[in-house]
Amino acid sequence: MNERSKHGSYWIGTRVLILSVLTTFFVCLVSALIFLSAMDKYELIGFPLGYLILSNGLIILAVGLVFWFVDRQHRLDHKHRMIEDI
Amino acid sequence: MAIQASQPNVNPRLGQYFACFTSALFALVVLLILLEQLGIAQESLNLTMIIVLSALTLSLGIGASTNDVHEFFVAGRSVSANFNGFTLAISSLGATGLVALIGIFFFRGLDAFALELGWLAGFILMAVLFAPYLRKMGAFTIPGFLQFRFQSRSLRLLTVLALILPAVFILIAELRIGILTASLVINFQYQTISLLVGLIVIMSVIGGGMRSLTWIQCALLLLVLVGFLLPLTILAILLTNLPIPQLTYGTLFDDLILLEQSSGIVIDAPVTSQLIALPHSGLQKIQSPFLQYSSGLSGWNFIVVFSCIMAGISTLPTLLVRCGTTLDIYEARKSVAWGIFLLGIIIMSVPAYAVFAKYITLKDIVGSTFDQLPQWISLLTDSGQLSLSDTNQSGNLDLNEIMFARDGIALILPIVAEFPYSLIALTILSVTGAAIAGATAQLLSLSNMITDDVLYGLWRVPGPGKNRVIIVRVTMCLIATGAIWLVNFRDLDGLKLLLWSLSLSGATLFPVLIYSIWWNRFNLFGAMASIISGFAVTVLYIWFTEVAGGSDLFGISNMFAGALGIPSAFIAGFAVSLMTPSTSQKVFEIIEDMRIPGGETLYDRAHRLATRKH
Repeated sequence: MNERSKHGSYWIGTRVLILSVLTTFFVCLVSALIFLSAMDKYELIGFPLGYLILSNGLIILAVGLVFWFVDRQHRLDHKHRMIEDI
Repeated sequence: MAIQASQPNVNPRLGQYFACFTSALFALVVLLILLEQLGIAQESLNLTMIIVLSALTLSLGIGASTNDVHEFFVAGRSVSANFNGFTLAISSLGATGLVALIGIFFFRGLDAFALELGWLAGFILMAVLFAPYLRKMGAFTIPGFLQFRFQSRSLRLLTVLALILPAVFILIAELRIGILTASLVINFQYQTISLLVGLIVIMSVIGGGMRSLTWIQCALLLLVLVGFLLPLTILAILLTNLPIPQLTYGTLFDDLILLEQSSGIVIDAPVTSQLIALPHSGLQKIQSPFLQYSSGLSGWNFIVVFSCIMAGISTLPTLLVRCGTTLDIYEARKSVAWGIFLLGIIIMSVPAYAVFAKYITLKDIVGSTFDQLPQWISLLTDSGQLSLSDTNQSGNLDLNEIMFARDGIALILPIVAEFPYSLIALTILSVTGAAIAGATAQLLSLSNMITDDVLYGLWRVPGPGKNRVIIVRVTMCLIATGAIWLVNFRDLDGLKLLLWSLSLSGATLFPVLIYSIWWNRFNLFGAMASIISGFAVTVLYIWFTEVAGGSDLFGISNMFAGALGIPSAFIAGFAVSLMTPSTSQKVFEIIEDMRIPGGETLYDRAHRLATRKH
């Protein structure tokens, strides 16, 4: 029973982490699309801002998010001692 | 990164080897450019390049030969994260995806972002939702994973049947584009070239299976990166003075808009209700300007396109199988992170590539006379990728007299920029390389599925290891022969095949994998219902609109048929699971075990126990 509850808290932590990665990405994606034409009034290094976010910003965000997720999940595994004897 | 406790078989010098490979590639290009200046004939340049590149590929592929089951199916579970990421990036795009994305940006401008973001989101979902759990399970194929999760061999057979069609679609699309680009640099008949390409594809994976595939794909990704980014970067230096095209092409936008207006491309009023209109594979005119937000990025259209591609990419069997090749679960997650990093570099460069190509085409080709055309443009016109005809007898080329083919856009940039022939050939061959990478991945996963899953779906006892590998090799030859025959059969649209395939595999696998990892209550009947309904709805919709000539439902083009299939699979799986008895205790324990990263890989443990019993 003790074993089960230990997995339980690990599992909750994992799910919170995954949900936070997905919500961050999708909130950014949807707001980038909604405010696309509003942001395009501004210009940054030659690009309309909305376009720049769509073409480069979201990709950089996604790469950063996934690397961050890998790191956090690794720490979570260690914290709950899930990673011994591989 | 902390040093892992056990890294038994990882070669520590791999990084150096691939650095050597890249510098050898650069050296080859520089050498050929020098030779070209000295006046060497075009044929000998072609020959050198083809021989060197295919020798490299084949030596990697054959050099990694193995008869060990573990090495053949999952590369000994010893591929380090970054190299696994290389292979994920190249096999997710393939030549079809790469060339088609450039073409869509060129013709339709910003609509292509809907597709590109789908690719990106697919990788995120793969990293967080699927990769770690599939690695813990460690099955050799996706049907094998489902068999293990639900303890049912009939489910395994059912999944294989559903997954054959999408894999064949991508295989044919990749072979077609490989043959198309190879025929630009080899002066043989079409049939001979298709046999040659097929032979290279077979030879590169038949020896070592997944092990060969890993090293070939790493080398080919480097070839693609060099072949696409080198001309792009040189052009960026020439036009914008900075060697980072991804961040500098914005400065061309004002000039591009002026050029578009002066050559007669007008901004149409945005039509939001229309479906996203992807360019077909035939010859067509440029009609829409680049910087125009049209139907693709708004509301319903975006959701349909984006979700279809996201589901398809995140569950593409070729990619998910690669999770099993990593050392442990941490490395599996990390390899997807590397994959998204490399994919990010490529898809960040794709719009830059299209903008530069459009800019120099409008600037240098439109309005010029026939004797001013770039020297090597005949490569495109002869192969039917471009058509120039002075219909109004004015002596100049108007925009209306130029027709582009979607798949030729990727080659237009170095040709119109009048780069040395060696660079042009490098770009052409890197598309061929991407096609070979994509085709080998599909060929291997298809033959693994057909042999392993059908054989062990029908009979329980795994045979001795060596036979298992030999059966895969025979199947591989048969499939490749069939695919080459199909490629010659009729003219096919590569992008359409790719999108159908993503729709089909997405609708078949995405709901099932989500449920089977994240929902304990999900049982065998739910899984079967979900797979059957997802596959059937998608296939029927494609058949209904493509063959039977029906009209589109809900504004969904049949290339995105998954938008109907995915929801129906989700609903069917949910409803049937709730109506039938819950999962057994044994299955429940497997699910619990799958979610914990530590401990032995489940598939290996089961196999060890099974062999001990005999």
